This record gives sequence, C-alpha cells and structure tokens, in this order.
Amino acid sequence: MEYLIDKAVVYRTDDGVLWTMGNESETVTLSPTANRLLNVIIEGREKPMRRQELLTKVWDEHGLVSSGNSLNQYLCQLRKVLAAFGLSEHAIETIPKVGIIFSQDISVSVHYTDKNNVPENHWFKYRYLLFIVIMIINIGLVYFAMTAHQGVRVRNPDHIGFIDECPVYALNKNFPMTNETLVELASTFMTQNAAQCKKGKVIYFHGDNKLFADGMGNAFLSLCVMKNDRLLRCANYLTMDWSVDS
Amino acid sequence: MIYRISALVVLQLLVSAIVYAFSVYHSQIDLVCNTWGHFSSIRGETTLKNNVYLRLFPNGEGVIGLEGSTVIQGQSVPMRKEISVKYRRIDKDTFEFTQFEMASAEKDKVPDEILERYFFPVGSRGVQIFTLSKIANGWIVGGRFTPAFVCATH
Repeated sequence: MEYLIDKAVVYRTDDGVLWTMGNESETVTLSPTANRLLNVIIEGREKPMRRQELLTKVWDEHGLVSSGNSLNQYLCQLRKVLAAFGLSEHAIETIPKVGIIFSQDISVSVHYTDKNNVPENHWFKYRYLLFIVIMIINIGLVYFAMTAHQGVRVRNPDHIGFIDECPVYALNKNFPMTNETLVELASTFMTQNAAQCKKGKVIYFHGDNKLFADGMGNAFLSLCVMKNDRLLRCANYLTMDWSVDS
Repeated sequence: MIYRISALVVLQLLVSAIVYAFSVYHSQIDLVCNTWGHFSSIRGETTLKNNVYLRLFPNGEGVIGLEGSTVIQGQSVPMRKEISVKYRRIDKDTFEFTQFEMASAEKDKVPDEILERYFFPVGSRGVQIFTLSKIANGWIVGGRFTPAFVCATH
C-alpha cells in the first residue's frame, strides 16, 4: 500500500520507501523496524497509540526484544526522515502519559499507484472482456478444427450371403432387392469376369443406382484374400454400364 | 495483472493456432496401398488390367501408379503410368483431386487421352471427386457413386 503524506510525500509500506511525489529517483528506504513503526502509527492515526501497543506490534509480534529506549530511537529516526522531506518535526507527536499519534495537522491519504490497488477502470474491464471473447473464439476454432477434420469413414458392409465358400458383402445399403437377388447378381458379374471364389476369400459387391433402376449401370466387385480379419490382397472388377444380359 | 492477461491471450492464440494447424495437417491422409484392377469402360471398348498403386501423403500430394496392360479395341497395349495429384478433403470420406500430372514410362504405349476419356481427367484442368473409406486394414477408393478398387495396406 502507498500513502500520500501532506499531499507531497509518498510512503510505500511494502518496502518502507519514501519519496517526494514526482521525484521517484530520490528515495529513502527505512529499516524494516522503522518501516513497521511508521506503518503502525499511520494506520492508527485516528487516535493516540500507547507505547506498549507500539512495542508489541512492532517488536514483540516479530520475535524481537522490545524496549522503551529502542522505541525512542526509532521515533527520533523517523522524525528526522520526515523532516528531510519537508514535513514538520512534530509529524509524529508524543502526548505525555497518553501515547504516540501522527499529527492530525498533516493529511494522510491512500495513494493509488500500487498495481493491485488501482481502482478498476474501463480499459481494465475491457481486457477481461477481450480475454473472454478470445477464449470463446479459440474454443470454437479448436472445436471446428477437431470436428471438421475427423478421421476417415470406416465401412462395415452388410453380409448378404455366400457364393460357394466366399461370404458376400454389400458395399451399398438399402438395395431395392433381396439379398438373394443381389448375391445372384454378384455371382453373374463374377462369372462374366472369370473371377473365381476360393476358400479364404471374401467378396465385396456394389451396384450403382442406375443398375438397380434400369438394369444397366456401374457394377463393382472386389475379391479379397482375407486372413485373421486382415485383407492380404484384392482383385477388383469395375464395369461401366454393365447389365445382367451383357 | 494486465500484462498477465495479455500474456494469457497471446498464449491462447498460439495454442489455438498450433492445435488448428495440427488438426488440419492430420485431416489429410497418410496412405500407401496396392491392388489389382480390371476396369472396363462403357460397352467394353477399353479394358484396363493393371496393378494399381496409391500413395497419399499428409501434405496433400499423392501418386497413382498403374502398371499392366490396356485392351483397346481388342489390342493389348502395355501400360505404365504414374499420375501425380494434389488432393484436399471435402468431408469425412470425400476428397477433391486436382492438378493431375501424368508421366509415362518408355514401355507405355497407351495414349493419355484413353485414360482421360474413360477413367479420369488428367492435365491441370481436371478436378475429380474421389471417395476414400476404410475397410478392415484396407481402403475403398472410388468415384462419387461407385468404388474403383479395394486396396490392402501392409
């Protein structure tokens, strides 16, 4: 925290540094004990503080041995420092049999230059808003990237029957014909292409919409050797404008 | 605090850019497979009997290799062509192939236009939609409506 004393001297409690406002190059740094003492006196400036209270807060609570003599020495030291900044030598007053008080004639206010205590301004608020907006955009961007570029489609063709020992799978679904008819079609196509089924082979068959609608269209058949659910090699047959009668 | 937020924003943008670039890079395919194909054109005018090699690199470039023979009006002609392409993903299983550049081996006697006329366009003007999907450890590669071949990866 920073205090502005007499509208001219800045006192930073964090490290006990004092300087004249506008002249930060010339500073005075208090010893840790002197700093604690000045801090306690300024914080409690509304009413006189008993000497014992000061001794407790500045020395005892910090594991130091307190004495009235030490207090007097540090008070003297502080008065000199404050006087060096043009403040009255009575800035810290001793009221006999009452205690110590920071002079009520000298103004003391909180000085907002500490970054943590700067009141929120619009720019600061907009930074938060900007942060949130960019975060939302980023999340959207990453989501788009992750979903729009997913892995490839994996096909699980329907098993529609057998040709000899070879299972036949249909690569396109929703045929307007029964599985038996489709297997028959695949069988005819195989025969015309002189493709032969042997044990260990699987057949993938596909006919385009035109083939099923007009009886003439693109027909595709792949005869693959498969072992342990892995394709070893395939022979492919694609005929454009194929018809059963051709 | 302000600097911390600014740093976080910059860091966020950086992370997003990396994630985006990474996901776009991995949207491409890293594929190498080969197979054998018997492709007959309309009315059987031309038939290709070829070993087919397909290599797609994650950087969007690819190579299609064809080696075998082509029967043109009853005449068998040796064929050995390599087609370089660029590709880009359109959706999950649809890809656009562009910038076909065909190279023919010395023994290749099949005119390029035969391939272009019956199977797919070549030359820089061509754009072809391909579908790619996985089946077991292999790939189904084809046009928009009909597969052209199933190839196995090893």
